[in-house]
This record gives sequence, structure tokens and C-alpha cells, in this order.
Amino acid sequence: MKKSVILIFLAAGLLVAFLAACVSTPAYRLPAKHPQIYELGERREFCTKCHGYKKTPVDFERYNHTPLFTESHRLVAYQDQRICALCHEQSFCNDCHVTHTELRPSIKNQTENYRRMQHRGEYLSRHRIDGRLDPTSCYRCHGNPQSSQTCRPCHG
Amino acid sequence: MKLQLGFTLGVSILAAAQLTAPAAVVAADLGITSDTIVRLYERDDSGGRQRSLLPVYEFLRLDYTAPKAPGLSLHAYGWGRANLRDDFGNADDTVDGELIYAYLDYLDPKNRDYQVRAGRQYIFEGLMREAIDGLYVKTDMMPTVTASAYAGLPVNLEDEKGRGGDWIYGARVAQGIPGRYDVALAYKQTLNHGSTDEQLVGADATLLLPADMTLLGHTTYNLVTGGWGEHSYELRLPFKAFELRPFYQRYRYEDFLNRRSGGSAPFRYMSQLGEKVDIAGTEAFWYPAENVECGARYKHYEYDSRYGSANMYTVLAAIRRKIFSEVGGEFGRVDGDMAQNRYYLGRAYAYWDVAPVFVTADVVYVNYDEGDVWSMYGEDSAFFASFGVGRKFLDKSLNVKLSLDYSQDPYFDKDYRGTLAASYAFGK
Repeated sequence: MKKSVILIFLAAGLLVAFLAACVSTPAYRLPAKHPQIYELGERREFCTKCHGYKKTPVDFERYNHTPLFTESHRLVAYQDQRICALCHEQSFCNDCHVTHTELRPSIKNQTENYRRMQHRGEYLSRHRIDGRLDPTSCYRCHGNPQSSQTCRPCHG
Repeated sequence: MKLQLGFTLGVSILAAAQLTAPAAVVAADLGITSDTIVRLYERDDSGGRQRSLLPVYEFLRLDYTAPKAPGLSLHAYGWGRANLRDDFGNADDTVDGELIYAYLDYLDPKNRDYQVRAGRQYIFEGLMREAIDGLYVKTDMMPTVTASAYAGLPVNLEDEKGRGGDWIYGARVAQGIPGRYDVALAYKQTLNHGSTDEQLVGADATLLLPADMTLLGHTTYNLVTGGWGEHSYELRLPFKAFELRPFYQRYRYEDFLNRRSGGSAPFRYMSQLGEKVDIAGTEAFWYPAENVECGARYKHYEYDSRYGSANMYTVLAAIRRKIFSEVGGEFGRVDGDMAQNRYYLGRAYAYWDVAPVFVTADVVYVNYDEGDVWSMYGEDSAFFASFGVGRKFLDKSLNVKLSLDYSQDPYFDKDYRGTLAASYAFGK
């Protein structure tokens, strides 16, 4: 696909967004922070426990922290980080998503074992297989020059 | 050097914030969180000599809200490490650290219509999942439209040929009705020393379908290589206490993995193979009671030219007691066409809260079908066990945690580790 086609696609998208905006009513605004209740943000929680299953103004069911949420949260996080920020400080995300760190997230938070963090346990031998099967999942976190410092001592 | 630069930047921003702050800072305006982690591990090398390492880490976070400037806040977070004992010969690297973020944030206090951030910050949206030293703006001023843009220096290229000519910028425009649907387009370009490192466009979408089904996903197109890098889509099908989440992903390594300088060799190598992989499967959840959750996942990998195919099976369950206590277990199997891509995994864990004390335990066992082929000790399995205990003090402001770990695996005969962590939170 040529770049010009992509740019036309982008321009058309922007135009549709603009036209839709002109005929729409003001949207719901998220609060900046969730009210403080116990240790929300540190626990793996189901938003629907309090918010229910109503779909508007926010479909909280989409953000329920299922047992596999650690592996599958990226699609909802990319779409509106502000929902995550209601309960989580930026530093919470940086346990895993960080340009340069030395501590594996599962080691930094060794006693928070309910979070099912990446690479828990002995991962050195397992990463040979996981990396072959799906290098794209490694690349998301270890793909840039800073974060690949953990790979380079052995892999170059 | 990076640590010094980072702290210099942080101190400068702090000083600027103090100019806008009142004389007396109260706990409601200021939050400081400190995590101090002391680790100890010992290892016998091949010559029979015992070596040990005693690093101390400090993670420090600051959040400050300017009381006389509604909407304005300052956020900073960084880490540093010093080796109190090091028998591994890392004499040139006994300290390290990083300023992870330090930014001023302004959120329109009246209608929350727009947000501006300046400084070192992380952006996770659309095509972005990295840090910049720069400016980020986001607005909802047009009804049903959210637009954001950013520009600055890419932090992850800081060590690559210096910062001259480095640049990252991009934008995302989303249109939708919250909870019903949204469609977004995004663009990102990264320059390293004047030459294009990345240039991507992407689209993401969410659509609420009848019967409360939801379709969501995203697609990226690499403008440098001229090909689709990723398609990731999933459908969520809730039905009473059950939920199914079938998904499909397709990656083309040449367009998804980057050949940039400074990246690790395997990614640069694989990006030249022209390999494509299709990943399809489903997650399934069942909640038979409010405190019980069961999950399963099946993933099938189909490669274009290497490895044939592979399957991954996972089942797991957790039972909770009140809010904080939980026990769980997991069993998994990875079954590739190639024998070296096969293993079994089992895990059991417990986190038990008897306030103000909590106790944790974790056991992971992995059995590799052909582990002994590449093992240093002829082992074809890995065993990991961790036991932890913690206690909260000072009205839960101080949390002291101790964990002891043991592992035995194909690479190390016996590994013992100890970690002592103290988390202290002030204010907010």
C-alpha cells in the first residue's frame, strides 16, 4: 500500500471525526481520580463489582481484572489510558513498562504474587521457548535500545 | 551520568513547582512514596568459588498538587541502585539509576476538556508505549472527539549516537460514544540522529454489539518497510457467569520488529526473515461464585516458514477470602511441532492476609521435554519456590516485606535469594 493511500485514509478519518463532532452532544467526562477506597490500584479487582454492567457512560466490564488481565490488558489500555489512571499511578505501569530497569517486575513485587506478573519463577530457561514461539511479545517490552540492555549481554 | 542528569532534571522541575507552591506544604498536597529493596544472592561459580551480591535499590515517587493553581500537579519517579557487596567484578557498574518520569501536568479544572503535560513522561495510547522528554496535549473539546499529540526527544534512543537529531512526534484522533463505540487513527514518527527510526500509522476500534458482545482491536502499518506489522482483534462474549474471548493476531516480523541500531540482535535478525505468524485462540472465564474464578486459554501459533505450528493450553483458578486473601493454581502445556518447543508448567500460590501481617507462598515447576539437551546440569526441569511475610506499620503507611526464594533449574544448580523491601507512603 502506498503512503499516499495511507495519508488519504488518515485525512478521510479526520474529516469523518470532524463532521461527527459537529452533530454531536457533549460527551461524558471522566473524573481525574477514583475515590480512595482501601487499596484499590494495588489489587486485582473487578470494576463491575461496584459499577455494574451498564455500558454507558463507561463500559467497566471491559476493564475487569480477570486472571489473565496482565497478558491481555494492552488493547483496552491503548484506547484510553485515563481509565487505568483512575486507580493506578503512572509508576504502577512502570513496574513493567520502563525504558531501563534492573529488577524484573515479579522480583520488585515478589510478595504481590496475586498479580501474575510476567516471568515469575525461573524464567531464564523458559524464555528460550517463549521467545521462539512469539518474539513479538518479547519485543513490546525489550525492543528498544534502552530496554534491550537485559538481552544484549547474551544475545548481542 | 544518566542518574546525575535525571536528578538534575528532576530537581529543576521541583524547584519550578515550588515557586508556585505555598510556604507550607501539607500532606494533602504532597505525596511521597519510597520503596527500598535490599537483595542478597550467592552463587558458586564453576571454579567452586562462592560469589555474592548485595544490591540496594531505592524507588522514589513524588506527587504534588499546587493548591493555589487548580489543575496543576507535578509527578516524578525514579530509581537508583548501589552495590554494597559485589564479588562479580562489576567494578565499573556499582551504581546505576534512571529518572523514569518527571512532568508537570495541567488538567482543565473546570470541565476537564484538555490536558497538557511537560517533561519526561510515558505515553500509552494508540501506537505509543514509550517515554519522551517533551510535550503532550490531549483535548475533548469537540464533542465525541478526543485528540492528542506529542513531540519531544525519545528517551529510549538517549544512548544511541547522542541526542542530536533525535525526535519523536505523533498524534491520535478518536471519535466515538463512550461505552458504545470508538474508532481512532494514530501516527508516530521517530528520528534517530536525523534518520527515520520508525514511522507507523495505526487504527484501533471498539464496538459494542448486540447481546453485550464487544469487538475490539488494532492494526498497525509500517511506513518504513511498507507493510502491515500487526493485526490484533478480540471478541468478548459474556453469558451470565461465563465469558468467552476469542482472539486473532497476525504479525509480519519484517514490519513489526524494528531493525534499528541499538536493538538486540535477535530482533534485528528475525526482522530480516520475512516470517509471518498467525495466532488464534480463545480465553474463557467462569465465575461460579463471587469469590471463585476459573479461567482457561488456548493459543494456536501458525508460522509461515519456521517451526511448523505450536499450541499453548492454560487453565487456572483462584479462590478469594474477603478482599485481600487469595489462593490459586495454574497448569499449562506448550506443545510445538519441534520437540524443543514443548514444556509443562504448574504453579500454586497463596497470599493470605491476617492484618496487619500477610504471608505469601509460591511454587512453580516447569518440565521441558528436551531440556537436558541444552541444560548445563543435565536437568530437564525447573523448580522455584518463594516464601514471603510482611507487616504494615504506622497506620499502614509503612509496609515491610521479606521474601526468600529458592530455584533449581537447567542453568543453575541451586540458587538462593533474599529480598527485604520497605515501602513508605507519606501524604495524599
